[in-house]
Amino acid sequence: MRFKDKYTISKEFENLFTFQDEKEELDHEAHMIMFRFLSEIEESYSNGKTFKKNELAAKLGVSPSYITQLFKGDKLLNFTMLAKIQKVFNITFEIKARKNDLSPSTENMKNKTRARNYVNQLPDDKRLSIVNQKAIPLNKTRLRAHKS
Amino acid sequence: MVRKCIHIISSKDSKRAIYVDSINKKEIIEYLEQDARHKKKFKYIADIILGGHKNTDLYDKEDINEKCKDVTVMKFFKGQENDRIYCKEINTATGTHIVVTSILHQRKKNTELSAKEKALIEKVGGYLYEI
Repeated sequence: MRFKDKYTISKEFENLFTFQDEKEELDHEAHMIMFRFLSEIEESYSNGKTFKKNELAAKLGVSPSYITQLFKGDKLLNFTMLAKIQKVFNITFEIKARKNDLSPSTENMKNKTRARNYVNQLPDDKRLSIVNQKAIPLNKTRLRAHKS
Repeated sequence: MVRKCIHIISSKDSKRAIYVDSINKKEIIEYLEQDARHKKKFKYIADIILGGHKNTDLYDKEDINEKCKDVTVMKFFKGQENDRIYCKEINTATGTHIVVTSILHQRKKNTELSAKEKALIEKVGGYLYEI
């Protein structure tokens, strides 16, 4: 996905974010997919302390320099190594696909609207019970009607 | 002195953005644009910042003391040229998280921070930006 489709770039800096060809664009995307996996590992296992790449290398049975090359983007992670990471840490990466024309915030709004519509069509007693739990915010007019 | 900075790129929801220090803009942008290799690395770093991902080999905190709690660093070619761009993180009242690329420091020689590097980081820590 091109930077200008994903982000807002000031005109004078557009040159910084262009790709020469599709190969370069796909290579960048491949690295970003890898960085998302690596970010998840670093977030989960650093526990507020410095993330020890040596420990990760030892657990995976690879050299520390290989791990550094992955984090720097000099090498790409393969699926076998990803499977090994899952096994070593006893985790499962969750994968979710979404349309690129929907930003996360748009999708979030759509989910909220769906939830609100669902709650609003429930019988009064069930709806009030959900509203009292504050699980799903109702639209204001609906909420006022229940309070009175 | 309040410094000015210029918008480079931001997420579509305006939650995250990258700016450049107006005084050091020429030096920083020339460095980033010098060849495909530098542009490629900057694209990784920008995408990591704007996507809210963590990768301390490319972008990390540089909060060495109380004076520079909001200083961060973009790392270019760690273990090779070891170039750095020291940045200042700002959270605006409207909820935008901004990273201002402030000072370029080329060829960081040692793993430990030298007195010159500490001074640079503290200098960035003291910068105030007008957005």
